[in-house]
Amino acid sequence: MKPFKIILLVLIIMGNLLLTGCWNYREIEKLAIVAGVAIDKGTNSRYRVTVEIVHISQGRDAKPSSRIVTMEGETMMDAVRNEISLSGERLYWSHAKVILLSQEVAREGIAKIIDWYTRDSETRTDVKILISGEKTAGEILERGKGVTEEIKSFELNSMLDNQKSLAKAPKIDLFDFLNMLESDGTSPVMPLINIRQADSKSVLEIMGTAVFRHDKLIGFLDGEETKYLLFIKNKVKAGVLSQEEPGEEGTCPVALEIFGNKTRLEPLVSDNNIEFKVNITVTTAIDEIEGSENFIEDKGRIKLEKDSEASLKAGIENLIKKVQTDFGVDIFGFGSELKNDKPKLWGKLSNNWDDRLKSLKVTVIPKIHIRNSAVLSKTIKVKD
Amino acid sequence: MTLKKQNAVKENNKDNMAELNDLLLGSSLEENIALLRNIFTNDETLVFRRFQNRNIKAVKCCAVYFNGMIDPQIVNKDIIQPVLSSDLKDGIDIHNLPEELQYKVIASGNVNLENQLDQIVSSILYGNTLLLIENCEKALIISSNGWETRAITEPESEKVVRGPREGLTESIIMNITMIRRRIKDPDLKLKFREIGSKTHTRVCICYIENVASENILKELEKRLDQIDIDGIIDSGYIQELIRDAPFSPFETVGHTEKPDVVAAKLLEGRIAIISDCSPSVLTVPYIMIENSQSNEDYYNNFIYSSFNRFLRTISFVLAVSVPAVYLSIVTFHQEMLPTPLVLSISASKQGVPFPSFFSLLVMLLIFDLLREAATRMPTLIGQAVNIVGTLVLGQAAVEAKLVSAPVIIVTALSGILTLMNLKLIGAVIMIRFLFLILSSILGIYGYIFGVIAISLHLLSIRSFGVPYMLNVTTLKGHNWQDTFIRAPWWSMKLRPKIIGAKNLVRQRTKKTGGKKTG
Amino acid sequence: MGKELITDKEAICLLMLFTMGSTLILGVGSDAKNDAWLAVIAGLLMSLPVILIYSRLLSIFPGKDLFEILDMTLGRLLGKLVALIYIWYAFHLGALVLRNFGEFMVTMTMPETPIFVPMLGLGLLCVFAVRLGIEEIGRISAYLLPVLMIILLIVLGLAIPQFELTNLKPVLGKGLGPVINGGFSAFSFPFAESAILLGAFFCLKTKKSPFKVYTLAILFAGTLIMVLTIRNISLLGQLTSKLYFPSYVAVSRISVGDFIQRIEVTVSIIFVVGAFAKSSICLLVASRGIQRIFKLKDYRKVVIQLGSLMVLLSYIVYDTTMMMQYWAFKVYRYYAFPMQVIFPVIIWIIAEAKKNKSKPAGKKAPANE
Repeated sequence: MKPFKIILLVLIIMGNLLLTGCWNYREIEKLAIVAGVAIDKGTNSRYRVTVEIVHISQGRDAKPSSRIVTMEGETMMDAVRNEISLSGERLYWSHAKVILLSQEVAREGIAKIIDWYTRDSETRTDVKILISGEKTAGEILERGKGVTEEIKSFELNSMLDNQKSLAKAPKIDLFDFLNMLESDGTSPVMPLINIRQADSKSVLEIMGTAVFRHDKLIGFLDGEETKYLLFIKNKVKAGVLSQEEPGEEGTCPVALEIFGNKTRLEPLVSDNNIEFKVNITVTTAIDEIEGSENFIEDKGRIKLEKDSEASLKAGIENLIKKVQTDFGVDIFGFGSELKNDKPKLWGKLSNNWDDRLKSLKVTVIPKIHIRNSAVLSKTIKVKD
Repeated sequence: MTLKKQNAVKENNKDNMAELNDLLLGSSLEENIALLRNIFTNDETLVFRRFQNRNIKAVKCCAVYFNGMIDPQIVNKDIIQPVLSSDLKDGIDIHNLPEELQYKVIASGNVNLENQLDQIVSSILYGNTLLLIENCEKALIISSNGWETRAITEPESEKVVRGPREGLTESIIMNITMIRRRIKDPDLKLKFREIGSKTHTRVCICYIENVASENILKELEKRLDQIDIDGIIDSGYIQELIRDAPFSPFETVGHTEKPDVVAAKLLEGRIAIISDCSPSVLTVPYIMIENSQSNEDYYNNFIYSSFNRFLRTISFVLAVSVPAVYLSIVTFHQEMLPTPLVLSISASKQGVPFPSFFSLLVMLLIFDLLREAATRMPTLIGQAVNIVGTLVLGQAAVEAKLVSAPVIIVTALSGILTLMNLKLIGAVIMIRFLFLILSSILGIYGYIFGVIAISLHLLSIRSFGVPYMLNVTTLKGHNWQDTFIRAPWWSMKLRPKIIGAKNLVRQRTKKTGGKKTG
Repeated sequence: MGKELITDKEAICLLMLFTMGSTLILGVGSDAKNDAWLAVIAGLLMSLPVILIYSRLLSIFPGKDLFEILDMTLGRLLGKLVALIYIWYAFHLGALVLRNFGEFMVTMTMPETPIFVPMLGLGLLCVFAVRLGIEEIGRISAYLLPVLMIILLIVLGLAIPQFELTNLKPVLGKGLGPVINGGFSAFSFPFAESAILLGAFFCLKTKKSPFKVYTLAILFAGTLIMVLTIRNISLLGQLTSKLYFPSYVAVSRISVGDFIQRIEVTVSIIFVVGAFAKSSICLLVASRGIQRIFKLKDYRKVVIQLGSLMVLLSYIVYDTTMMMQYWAFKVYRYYAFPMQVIFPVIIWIIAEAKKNKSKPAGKKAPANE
């Protein structure tokens, strides 16, 4: 009889668990799946949170559509939970793709805002984080229109994912941002999003970088500058280098497609003087020649390499100068490099690193290697 | 517990056979006839055929047999006719008539002298013909059994594309014939016994001496001896009476309807139990991995066979897991899915009123319902069931938004996977529900708990002392060759040691053969 | 029921699972920040002498478990007293592991589920396993460990493209201090916890096997923990030491292509299995201890009761996750020190002395089977 008793016991326990259970049991179709969230300063309370929810309608061919809900609250959590009083659904955060922050909020400091998002167990830290170039962050979700996708946040997500072949905005997710905040010697940056009017439609555009001192927004870099920034940060995987070469018939623009890049920051310490050497090695290919100059032969190619190295160097040095004078924060990560390489020296310098940065001497040594000329082996000659 | 009960039942219905134990035949023919008539009262099928020799009146006999149990040809031509017509004068000692008849007259293959009444009764019941002789205290028992048996056909449950089509039948002798035709060796031993106080079913333990383990044989005989039951209708009775882990849904005694499978298992050192009137032969010891072995594996190319075996093993795991994992992902761990999948599953479930757990449970039950209905149905009606099942329940339910399409897909997948391992079907169904319930409580963690519990159970049971699951750490070399894979024949030189076979060397084929060129 | 035996390989698998059990999820040596992997090595080195003492004890008294050894070395009364301490340690440790598991479930995946439910589930599983016996636990470890290793290696492989090895720099940036500190923490949790196994490894086959089992298992497990710590640090960087469950978060960062992502549930599978192995062993040792002290015929009689109590203890042992963190990384090392180091060393010295005394007298070494 003993096994029967055990089976009975198990059945009773199971029955109890089943009948009282289902604590975390939630049906997938009951979830209000959040695609993205925009955070602004509230009018009545501290935060105004705009959430884009994926609305899945019934029917065979129904496509998911986007639904925007706005709510306010004293804390982030409060605001987010207040949503229940608006629609009765509890938001589900695991599939959220982007966080948009308004400049106003960002200038006051964003550590307090993202704390909830990092701490909660349902949210994920691989969500991408952006700064709105518009007045508020909410209007990006409200006014913006996706080109390919109905749901704007998903489109923003794929735009950021594909930045790797453009390199005009950094791809930063919440976790990267937190890590930059936490580590000394690197100041965080964030991509910038704008609404652009095109064909009377408000199209989203991600271009440029927002620069932070600690967690406070202090300025912006445009798309080209962002590319140079990414060169220093060794984040360029693909992209385009445009170079104008003097030719027979005026200038002859050439486009080099970047296939790979390796950047090494090298601290040179002598006595109490610190210098940095930035070694950049870019592998490229000629992808466009707007003219009949011969850049494929050795002579022309070496000249092209030299010229584009020079312009890359100039661009990067200008950027460093700009950051040193305008912002005075180390968004390049020179400090972290020093810390990793010479931890003892860093211990002495870390307190006034930002001051030191302003006068830091940086030498840029670019090396551009042209690997091939894509499909064509000659320039196109227009015959009479 | 079961044995005790049977004992108690037996005490009450003390059968006649026991009372016959010490009785002997008398010398008067008529008295003996009356005695038998008395034993088999109310049985019209018992035939008493009296006859005399033409020449000697003293040779007065009576053939007793059951109509339908004998072969009339044998009785007429080989028993009655010789006694009737032969000229018994020459060289026949009238005073020693039974022996004389046995040795010189009756033209049957198997003739015995008997005076024990119980032996006589049981042999008549077995289809032998009894020859009573006037003034003689011994009777002749002549084997004459012959009844209609089913023709040898291919078993429905174990169809093969390649390999012998023969299937075992309900006749124990035929079955033994089929096995012996495959193993023609004096070492093939057959130990007979009778089980069942009413049915007197003949049961045969079949093994190859010097190959099968003696300990297992001893243990098997001990367990068979302990059986005390009124009847064995099918070998399934024996299977449950002698098995280890009686409460487990996993079979610890194997069964097959194919003689080639039996022969192969005997050669591996297993022991077969053949029971009369049952086309399935039991084999012990039986371990988990045998559930995913098929006889065809050994006849086909080994790479193809290994692949098939891998599919079967995986399909067992999937069949029990798919519904539970689906449920836990859809209701607990939505974050595990890629976003597009979340959206499409969510879209397909919009407007479905029932919770996922409930609809999965019901759909799985319906699948089992259909399966059971189709099994019992004649083939033609079975097709109708199929149509109803697929069209009405599947498509219409989705159209009517009673269940969501993913649930149907999961159910169908799990159902088909179940059918991949027919021998495990009972276990799969039970475990599937267990896992489903567990994962409705704790999501994927409930499922993992279930997996650990079932693994523990599988690891703890044994079949005749042989661990049901292979022991990974002690398993090496040749023991691997016939498990998750099927090694090529030229490399399987030894018998699997795990099942306790003795005399491990199995083949001494030179490897060179066509191997280098092929 | 004959004498229970487990093979060396099974014992290694068991000890590895035991060692990795809750460590994989809680992480080790968080004091050392990005040098935590060095702390693991330090802990491993520190634990080696202790491990050798454990194995020596087992090989002096082959076929005997901890409680019999205590009786034989410390005498009846004192032996019983120390045995009680060990029973409590095993019992408490089992409860702590259950609690770790419960906390993990409740904070990371199922915030609305009462913590009691997963702990009860795991507790029932342990009771089931322990009632089957050490052999079955050993065999299931031998089945589960390879599966876990495959999962771990696949996840590791998927993580490699996202490694930021600069996160490991600067090596020894804050000097040796934090590393030694973290190393001590890693020593007491998990390496020296294998003292518990003294109560379960009465079933090893040969006299030599304790050395083999202990050293190999601890080395393998240590290496694995180190590799995973490196993985966590290089995926998570500065945040590693701020998380309760770094492995889970680290794996949640892995994404290969669009489809292979959100695979952190694999980590929880590993954790379930590890926690199961660890708390079953604790339960087994506690039950065997009770059996020895009260001279019961079969330890299986007390398993259900002890198991239920263990679940109960795990329910009341902490109030909050913070307390668990504090206990596991700050207090535990001092609490466990006597059981992990002091008692074994004392017993070992006495055992060696007794052995030497008995040898010149011409007697055979005790209990030489």
